[in-house]
Amino acid sequence: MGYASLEPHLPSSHAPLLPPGTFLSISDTQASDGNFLLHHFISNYIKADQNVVLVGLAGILVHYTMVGRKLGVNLATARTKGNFQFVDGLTQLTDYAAPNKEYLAKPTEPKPATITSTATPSSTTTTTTGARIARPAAAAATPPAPPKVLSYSPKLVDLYRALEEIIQDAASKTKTGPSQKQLVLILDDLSVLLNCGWSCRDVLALVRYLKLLVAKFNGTLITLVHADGLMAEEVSQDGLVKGVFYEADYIIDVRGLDSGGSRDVHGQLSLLHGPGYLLRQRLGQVRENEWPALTLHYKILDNNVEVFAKGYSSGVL
Amino acid sequence: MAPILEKIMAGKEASPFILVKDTLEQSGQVLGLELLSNSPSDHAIILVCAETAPDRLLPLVKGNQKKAIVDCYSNPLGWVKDITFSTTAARDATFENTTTTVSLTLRNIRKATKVITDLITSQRSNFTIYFDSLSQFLIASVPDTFNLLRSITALLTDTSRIIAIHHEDIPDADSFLPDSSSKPQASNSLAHIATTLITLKSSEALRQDQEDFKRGTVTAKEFSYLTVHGNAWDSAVCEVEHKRKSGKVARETNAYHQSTPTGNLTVVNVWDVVGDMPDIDKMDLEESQTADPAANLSFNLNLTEEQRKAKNDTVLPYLKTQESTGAIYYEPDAADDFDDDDPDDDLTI
Repeated sequence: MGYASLEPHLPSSHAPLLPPGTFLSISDTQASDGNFLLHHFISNYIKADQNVVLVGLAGILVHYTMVGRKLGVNLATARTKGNFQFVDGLTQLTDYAAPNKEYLAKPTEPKPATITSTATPSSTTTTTTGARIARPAAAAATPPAPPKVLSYSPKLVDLYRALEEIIQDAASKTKTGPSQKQLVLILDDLSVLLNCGWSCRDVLALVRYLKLLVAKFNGTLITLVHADGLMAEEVSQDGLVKGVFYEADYIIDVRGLDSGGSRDVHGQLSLLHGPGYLLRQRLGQVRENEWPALTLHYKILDNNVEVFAKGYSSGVL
Repeated sequence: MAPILEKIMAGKEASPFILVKDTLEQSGQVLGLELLSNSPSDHAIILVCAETAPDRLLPLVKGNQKKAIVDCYSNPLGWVKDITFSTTAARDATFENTTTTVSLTLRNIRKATKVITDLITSQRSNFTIYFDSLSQFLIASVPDTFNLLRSITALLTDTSRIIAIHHEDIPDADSFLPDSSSKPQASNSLAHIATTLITLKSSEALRQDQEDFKRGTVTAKEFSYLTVHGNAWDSAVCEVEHKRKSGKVARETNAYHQSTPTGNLTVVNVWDVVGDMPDIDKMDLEESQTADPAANLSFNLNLTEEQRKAKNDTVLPYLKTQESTGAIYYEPDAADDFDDDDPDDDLTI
């Protein structure tokens, strides 16, 4: 179940999941990769048999599968069951991939021979210019279809529409019975969008639209953004981090130790109260001490991450 | 003397444009909503929601005034065609019955200006308009945002007012351009047109400053966008600068305090929240009054009566020159060869 030592420090109302309709923003730095937190949530949601839509803008599926295995989840099985959707936002996101298109998954290639009459509607493509999604038909007994690919488009709105379809699809497939499953949409990571040339304002708008979309489907949004001190001088980078922090309900900041590297402590993890949290407290949506703001230390082990109070590292005690 | 913030909250000090400047570290939203809730009962309240969902803001506006909502939150760039986003709002029938909602995108601030001014004039009464974040407008266009504010100012009546929250730390549209340093900062320009400027600081930040001041050092701060002390619900410090109609400017540092997260705000003195504050002016005064340099010495610097008399009787050598106009007095002594003649007399040039 994720990292046991991290659990007590997360919002408890819907533990081990996050409260639906909220937005958790994770920030990290070069010295301290915040990826480990994403794996925690992926693992928890899948083990709880809820839906995960993971948009890999900075990583490929193999990476998540391997880490998932160490944490005891099988992403391939989850994909077959329909609990886990991976969206490839890495290989074809920019038009730099155009020359190599023949080596990559063709976006509009229909999947032959596995289309049965009971399957859900076969490949559809959006009619907007630019973004096309690979939508092989999902049939029950076939191996998991290749992940959906986000194709290049100069306008970020097309990316949003592609994701909107994927999420609506994922949510509708699992709407069996009275309660809809909880959904988590994970964007790993936002800084890639900025680096690929979209403006800070567009990326922030994407976050806003996704947050609203996901809330409609009983879901939570988790994003990762890079927040190094050195990059703070760059206006877009700085503006993105601050904008995301203003949008977020919960903020977790992962940073290296100020005093340098250490063998027993890999970095610090701060649970922070942003303006969004303060407003929710004022509304009475979170109780007074439900999620106190504090800084913890962590150490990454082979198949676990230990989170402990400052000064309580096992190397010290 | 009541703190100025209390007077402003109670409406005893009129202010057509209240600007609340905040940062990630200390949000001004709670204070802003409290100011809004204290609007006169005959005012129509217009909530321009750009950063917070309307259904989150509305419950925090206490009072029975007529409310209208300008929803710039749900569709900021016009990416969706139909607005069915505010899920809880759609389900809450009372919400729909008592409030008008207008949806707006922030792609074109000029169009937005027209919509907002039309909404104001349609209310046909005194109004208070609340912007939950001017920053969302500024990131689209700085001049258009100022035009929006000017257009609203043109519609202000005697008691109508604008309350706006501005995030100091978010870059505006101009900052993204390469020649941004040559343009006036939007923050400064806003501060000029505001009649009341309230800058929020977290209580912990001020406590740190006081500690540093006492110690005479500055604690090195690690870089972070937000600290664990940010947005404490129990209190915050407000630096208020209020321009009165008479031209006088009142500048005070006040604070507010809450006993529960959902409780009422009470304005208090800043030292109740931050702890004992060394008053810089007070310290200077004390020093000049009580310091006696001749006090704790191992030798005697004082004068006896005789010494004082002798001192007063001494004739200073050049006293005459001090008192006279400027004529030169030359008194030769024995070794000098004094000759009254002009040495240049024998020249025949």
